[in-house]
Amino acid sequence: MEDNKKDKNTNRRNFLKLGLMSSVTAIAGTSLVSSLASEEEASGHSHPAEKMRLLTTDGTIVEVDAKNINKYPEAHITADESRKGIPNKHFVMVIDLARCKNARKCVEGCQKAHKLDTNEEFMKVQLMQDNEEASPYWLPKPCMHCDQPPCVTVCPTGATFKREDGIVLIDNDRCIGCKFCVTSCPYSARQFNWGHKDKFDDKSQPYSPETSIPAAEGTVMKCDFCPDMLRQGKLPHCASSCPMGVIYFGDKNEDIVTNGDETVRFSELIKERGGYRHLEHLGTKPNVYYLPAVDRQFPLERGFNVDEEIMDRYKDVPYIKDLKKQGKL
Amino acid sequence: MKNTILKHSFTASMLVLFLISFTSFGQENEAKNFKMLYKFNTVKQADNTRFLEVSFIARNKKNKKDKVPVFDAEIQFYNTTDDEDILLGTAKTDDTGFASITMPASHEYVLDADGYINLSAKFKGSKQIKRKSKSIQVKDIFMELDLKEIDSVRTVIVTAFTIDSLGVKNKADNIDIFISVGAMISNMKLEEATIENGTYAYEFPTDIPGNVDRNIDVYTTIDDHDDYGTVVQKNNATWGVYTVKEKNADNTLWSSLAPLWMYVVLGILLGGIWINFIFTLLELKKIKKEGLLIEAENNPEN
Amino acid sequence: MILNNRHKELVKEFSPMLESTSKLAKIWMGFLVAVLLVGFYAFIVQVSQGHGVTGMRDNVVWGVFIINFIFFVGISYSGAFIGGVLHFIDAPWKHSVTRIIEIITVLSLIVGPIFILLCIGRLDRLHYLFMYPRIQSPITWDIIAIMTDLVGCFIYLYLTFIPDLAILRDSDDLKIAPWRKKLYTFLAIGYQDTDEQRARLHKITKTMSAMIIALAIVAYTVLAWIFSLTLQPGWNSSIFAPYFIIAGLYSGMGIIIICMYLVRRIFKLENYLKTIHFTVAGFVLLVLSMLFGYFTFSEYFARWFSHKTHDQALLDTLFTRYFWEFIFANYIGVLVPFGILFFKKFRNIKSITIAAVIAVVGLWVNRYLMVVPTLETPYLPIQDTREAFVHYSATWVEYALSFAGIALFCLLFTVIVKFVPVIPISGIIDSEKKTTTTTNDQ
Repeated sequence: MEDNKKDKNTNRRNFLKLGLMSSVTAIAGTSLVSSLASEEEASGHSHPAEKMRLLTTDGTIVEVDAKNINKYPEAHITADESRKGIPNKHFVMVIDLARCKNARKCVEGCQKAHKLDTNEEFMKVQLMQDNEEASPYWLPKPCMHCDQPPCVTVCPTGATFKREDGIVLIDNDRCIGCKFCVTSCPYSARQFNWGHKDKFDDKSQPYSPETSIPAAEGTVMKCDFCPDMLRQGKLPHCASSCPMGVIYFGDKNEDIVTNGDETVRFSELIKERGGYRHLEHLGTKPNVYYLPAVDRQFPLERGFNVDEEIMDRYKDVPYIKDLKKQGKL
Repeated sequence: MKNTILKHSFTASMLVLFLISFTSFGQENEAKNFKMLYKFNTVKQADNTRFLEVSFIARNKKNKKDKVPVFDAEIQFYNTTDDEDILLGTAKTDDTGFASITMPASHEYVLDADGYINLSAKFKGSKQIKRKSKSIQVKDIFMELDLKEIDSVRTVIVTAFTIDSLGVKNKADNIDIFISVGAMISNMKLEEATIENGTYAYEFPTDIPGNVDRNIDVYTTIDDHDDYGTVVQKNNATWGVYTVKEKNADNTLWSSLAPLWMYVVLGILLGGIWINFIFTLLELKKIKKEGLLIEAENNPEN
Repeated sequence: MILNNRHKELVKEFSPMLESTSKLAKIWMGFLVAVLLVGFYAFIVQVSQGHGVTGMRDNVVWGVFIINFIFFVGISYSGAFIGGVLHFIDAPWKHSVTRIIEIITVLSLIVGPIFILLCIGRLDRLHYLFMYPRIQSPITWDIIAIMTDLVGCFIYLYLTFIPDLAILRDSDDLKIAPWRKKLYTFLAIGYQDTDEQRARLHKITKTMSAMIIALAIVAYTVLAWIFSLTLQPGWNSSIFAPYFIIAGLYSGMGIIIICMYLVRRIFKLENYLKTIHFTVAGFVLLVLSMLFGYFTFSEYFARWFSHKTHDQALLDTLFTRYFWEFIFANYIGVLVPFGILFFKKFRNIKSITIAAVIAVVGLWVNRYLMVVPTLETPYLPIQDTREAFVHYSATWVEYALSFAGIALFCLLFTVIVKFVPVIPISGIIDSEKKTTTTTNDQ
């Protein structure tokens, strides 16, 4: 079983590396794996996101403004429209903890798409160890888009709202920055813009709560499940950036989720793999399900291959403390 | 002296010109640092049109992760025959490096001796980029997808046949297909099977929700067959068991309208309090009036 | 209004405070203005450079500003409560302190909300709170409560000023600027102390007192709900609202004692602010310290005993990182005032005031320990390397603004007591009437 999975994922990674997926495979419905644009992002290119390099037939490389994947301004969703949501959908995400090896491509993909700085993370990867005996695991943690969101309840101006399709968004133009929602979220999913940044002045595309760009000073921001991508029938950036296929996303109403490679029945996935939700007892009814870290695909140590600064974050995890004591880290 | 200069000036100037052109040539042609990856693919779509696509991407020889699409390259699609190449269409690569055309269903291709359609996609080449050409051989196959209820069992019936030169339908045999249903982001595979003797029947699962109208799009796909290439067919039926989810409740803590009792309690509390404030202010006004009266009384006396 | 001799005597006694500003007072006010200016500068820094200049970061998003807000608003509500209750108590000594209490009530209700405004990220959008309010949000309830309470307390304060303003208006030997006389006339709204007017004034003052008591309880409960209606460990407690009320009363009583002491000392009002006032106040503070200790103990004891994981993490933070603050707030802050006030031997004016100071500072630290450690120990552990994001430490901006808030309170207090006598003249006369009546009856 594990070997099978390994092979599949090696193929997927090769495909990604080659970056030769065409519209053909998309039409055939066999795989959605990246077009070249997102592939460049995943490969850790040093080129700025705003420009795209093209080779013309006279052999010169030119740089053009990267075409907005979001097709603005034609597809601009205003703040009022964004409150309604995509009709008849109920979005849900499933994260397979057995496959996550802390590659952090989801973090980077999201940061690139939402123009975030290096230390602003809508999708966080935490190292969790449920108890002293338990094996630690990597936990990718986006906003849970709860069905009974404590953050929406406490917002005094209605700047954060829950839509019909289950997504919880923030309207930057309405937020007064009281930070009540930040204190109310038990998953610590929200962040605050503490000061002015130049990127806030970027007027190249009109603001929509669905893209969360540009952010605004003194307001709150968080993972938005990329509704702009969903409207185009594409996966959110984290799901499409993951090389291991850890993140599944789909519509609970049609009971189908996909990670770009495998498309499966949501209910079957949860039942067969024992899917659960975090902090279930708090009654928030989150829409991000987790598949337990059993039959791990990679040893935990594979995930230590990150910057020292990032590894330093996990210094309080008992397992890491043990390793340090033994001198193995 | 004059003669020597004249004798050598010509060679010198030619040398200079050559050098200039060489350097300018060297400065402009970055393409030589890249290896060209050129792929050609074709799909026969559900409406029997044929989609031909080329992907033209340059990969940096020194940094294999650096891939740059080739932009605005003219690709010509041909139906190659023994006599001459019939031009099917041309397209230019877009900014992702893909160029494609869609041939109408009615188009009649010229087949070769073995019954294959020979397709090729050619890039004529430029001064800096070598010409490219790739070809594919496909046999034309027709696939049909029927969604029928037989004896109250929902069945998906896939039939595949080829039409030979005499117009006779020949059942296709031993072809691997997979059946999938449409979903918002990606189609979901239900079953992988093989067409035997021109047909395959599949009992459709009864628990797939479909969309809000209970409509399910069913696809059947031949994926990269040696002879037939990639072929897709689709159909739909209202076989979904979508249960209308109850609308997200209104008047909850997290909806835009609050629970009714909150409005009532708030109204009563605030109403009571502010009415009292107004009452107090009115009484103050009365005090003022009384005071003025008294002052008026006192003043005439003074 | 017809002024009898007693009126004239009292006006003469209080006229130095009303007429002139001593040199010391001027220096004092100058000092306060300087502190205010530093605070104003800090405010400008915060507005221009963003909230990043404070110590607040993504996990501890509420810091010293909210703590000051809760603290000052607590003082205000407790002042309202105590002032309202005093109105219904028939004791001759109450009249001397009522004005001090009411002034504290209103002033802290002005200073407190300023702190919450400092915590708001986008002050330019404050009107959205009124354009798009969501009544499910505890913050909306808090805004309504504070605004209503502010109006109520102002009205109540004004009602208690009216008789004195009338006396001052009619005092011919009060040497004040003509504009002040005009102001007194305007504000006294023709009160002539006739029987009808007096009856009317008493009626509305009585209703307002009852209302103020209720408002105080409801408003501070709503503030407590901002914390206790969330899911966070350390906040989601069912006794938060009563706990806040007791804590507020405790700090309010302490501030009242401190103000009484200062007013008595500075204005040499030993005749009016007598030992009995301090003894009663001390006794109330004693009861409140016991109640406060009881509630605090209940909170932490239950959490410690049932040792749920997240409660455990919170208690660990409190007993390691905040150990000395915890000892000060919840042991010293409770036991020392208790010790001082319990034993008759220790009960003199000075020591009661010291007990009050310890109580007040201890309570501020208790509020700090209520807000910050919970935010530092969320359900999903903070895994961040930036120290500012892991632990909260206030910056000079926050301290400057805190001291500016205190300075504003003191400044406004100083200005008001120059305007109206700090011991209500009408109140003194009422209390003397009462004692004479009782003596006559006997």
